[in-house]
Amino acid sequence: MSDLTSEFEFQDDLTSTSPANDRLGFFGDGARFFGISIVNFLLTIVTFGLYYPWAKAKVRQYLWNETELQGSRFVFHGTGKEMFKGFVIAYAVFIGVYGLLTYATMAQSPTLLVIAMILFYSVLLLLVPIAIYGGWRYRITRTSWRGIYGTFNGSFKDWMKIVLPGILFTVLTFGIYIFWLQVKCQKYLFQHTQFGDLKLDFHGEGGQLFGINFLGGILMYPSLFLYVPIWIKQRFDFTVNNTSITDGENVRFLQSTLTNGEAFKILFTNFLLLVVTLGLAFPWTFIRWMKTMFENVVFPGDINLDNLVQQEGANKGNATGDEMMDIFDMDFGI
Amino acid sequence: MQRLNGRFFDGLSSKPQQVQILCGKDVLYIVSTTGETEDVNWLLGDCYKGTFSASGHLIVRSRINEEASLELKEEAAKVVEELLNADETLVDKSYTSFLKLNPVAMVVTGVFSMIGLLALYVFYVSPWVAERAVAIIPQQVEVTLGKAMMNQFRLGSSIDEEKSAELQRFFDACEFPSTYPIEVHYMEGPMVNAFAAPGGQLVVYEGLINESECWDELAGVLSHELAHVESRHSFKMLCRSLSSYILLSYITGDIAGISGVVLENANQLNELSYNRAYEKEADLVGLEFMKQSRMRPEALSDFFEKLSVGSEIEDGVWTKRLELLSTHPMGSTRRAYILETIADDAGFEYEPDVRPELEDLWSSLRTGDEGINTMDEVMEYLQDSINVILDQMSDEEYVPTPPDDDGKVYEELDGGQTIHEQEEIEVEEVMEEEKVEIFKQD
Repeated sequence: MSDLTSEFEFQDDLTSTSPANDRLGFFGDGARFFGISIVNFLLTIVTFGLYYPWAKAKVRQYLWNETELQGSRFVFHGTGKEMFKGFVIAYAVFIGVYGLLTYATMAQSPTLLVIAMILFYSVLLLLVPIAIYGGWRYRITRTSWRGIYGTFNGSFKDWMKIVLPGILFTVLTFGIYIFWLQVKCQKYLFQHTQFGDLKLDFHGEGGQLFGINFLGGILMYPSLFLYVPIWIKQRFDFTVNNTSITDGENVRFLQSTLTNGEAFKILFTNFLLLVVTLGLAFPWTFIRWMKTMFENVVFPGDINLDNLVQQEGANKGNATGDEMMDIFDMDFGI
Repeated sequence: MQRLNGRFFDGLSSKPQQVQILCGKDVLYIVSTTGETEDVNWLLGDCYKGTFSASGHLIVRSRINEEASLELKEEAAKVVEELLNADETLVDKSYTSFLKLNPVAMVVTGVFSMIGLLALYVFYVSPWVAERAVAIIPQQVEVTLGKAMMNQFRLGSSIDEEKSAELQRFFDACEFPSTYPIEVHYMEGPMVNAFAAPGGQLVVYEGLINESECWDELAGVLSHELAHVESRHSFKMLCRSLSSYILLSYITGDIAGISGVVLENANQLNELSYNRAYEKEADLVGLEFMKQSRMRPEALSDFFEKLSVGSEIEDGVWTKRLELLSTHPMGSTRRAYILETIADDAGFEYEPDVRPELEDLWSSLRTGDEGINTMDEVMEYLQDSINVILDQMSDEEYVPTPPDDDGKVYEELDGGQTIHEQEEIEVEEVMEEEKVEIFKQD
């Protein structure tokens, strides 16, 4: 019996003095993730695709639960049922607009065709910012750590006020503005996100992002794509190093310890693995990269994570009543 | 009673509370070791955990107090997990039991079941779905689609309107039973080819008409193409590719890329094999049409004999194509089952009608004696066409390749046309060459 009771080591035990810098831990395993993916696949096929939102929920539950900070793991509280609504609406919209386009083509009526195409492209264009906002909001409000839920107090209207002119500028500048828009969007999302009373912020600059991507674009081909892992690493650094957390007193930045060498090694071998296995190794390569990313994020030591306070309206709701945006968690990735 | 160590979070703050957990028969007694907080009792029946057992870590919550959570590690985690496992849902069980397999078994089972299911879907489910879907879609839609496709096709090809009208008269005079509004088009060019687009649009190439030796051979080809239309083969092929490719790639979206590879190849194989089944069906239905119009049914097999002779005599890779990979049953195989069908069915024992009007129409449609249907002829034809273009660019007089002894392609050009007209025809025919690949379906 006594060995059970002695099996307990937390870095910051009872005294809670300022802990050393903390890394995120990731304990995911490629084989387990493969197994989960297979069961997801089988269930999805058997239900003609209807199981998909539940499959997504299972994946997130697994990934969240294998991510650790200061000895405690994250929990994903989203359900397939919640995501199913958005899933159905997304497909209904797509099929509807696409159907209209097809009908207009067959009917060979020019006016109908023009209307249909305008509708099609504007829906496509709008769907992306909607999905980004909805997806972020959903995941934040369905994530908890030590029982403390994430909260999001942005407003969809304000978000669109940033995005819509941004899209216009991007088109007018032949795409160059996209980097400044991306930074603006990220700032908005982070600044309205909290975990308990821990606030997030983002300090990146559009020009910096532009530089990274410009360099990446230029060097990509001459380097025969060998530069790509480094490009990815730079974008990772840009996000992590510009993210700050504050407990109301101190503002501290997250830190990326990812090196060019490690990024190159992991990403390049991942690529080879995928090619050799015709993509079958994806669960392993995915987990591998997740682990690399997460374990290179360092949390500042002098932000105390032991006394976060649960906020009002946490756990599936939020103060500004944007719940309807839940249905727009439409990203089909992780 | 077992005593376990753990951390308790009350859900109001992230402050960890060291606790000891005593596992009773149906209850977990959670006792604070620092005396700072109250003790809590959780009935096991109210407790739940996540689906997957994380590596050496467990979070337990209770339905009566959703905010609080209990964290356990290593051995402690294992113990409590055992207690809670009895409660699993069926879906969750499928995950955990699969994950219990050793990794190698898991991967092997996974890959094989994935490929198996994909194959099942592509070869059985998807075709079935598509055929049902086609039944639902009204004929008018198909006709409109076919017309739209023809309009697209027209843009790049040389359709002779006058001859098309004549060919239409020929077809109408055949009096095949048809539920579709059939429009026949005559396409210039030496290719021995004919195809059917959805909704009743038929295209016959000049070369095919030239290659035929009597009017009932042409009638036979038309009956075959009509059979394609009546059986909605073209439309079914369309629906099948859509259904299997799009639907399946959406379903298998975030699984490995291998499904894409399997899909693509299975799709191709599937299309090929179904194509051949459709071709055979078209042959047999076509025979019925011939029977109903009291035409000589052997005409169709005669025609195929000509085609297969042409391609089997010439040597080279072209003629050694595997039956499996061909979209059409080989000429000789086709001949065999056509003749067999005729022999077995007493309904074919009639004296074919003599149709002088069809004979006349057919003669006037012909512009020569032969078309191109062997690889060597195609290559020579292409070579000459390229020479035409080059000569055009250097402003020299074009002298056509002197015809070979068996009287080949350029007879129709001897009719006193100007050099420019000759060249125009050549250039257009080069473009049609590409369409042979896409539309060859006779």
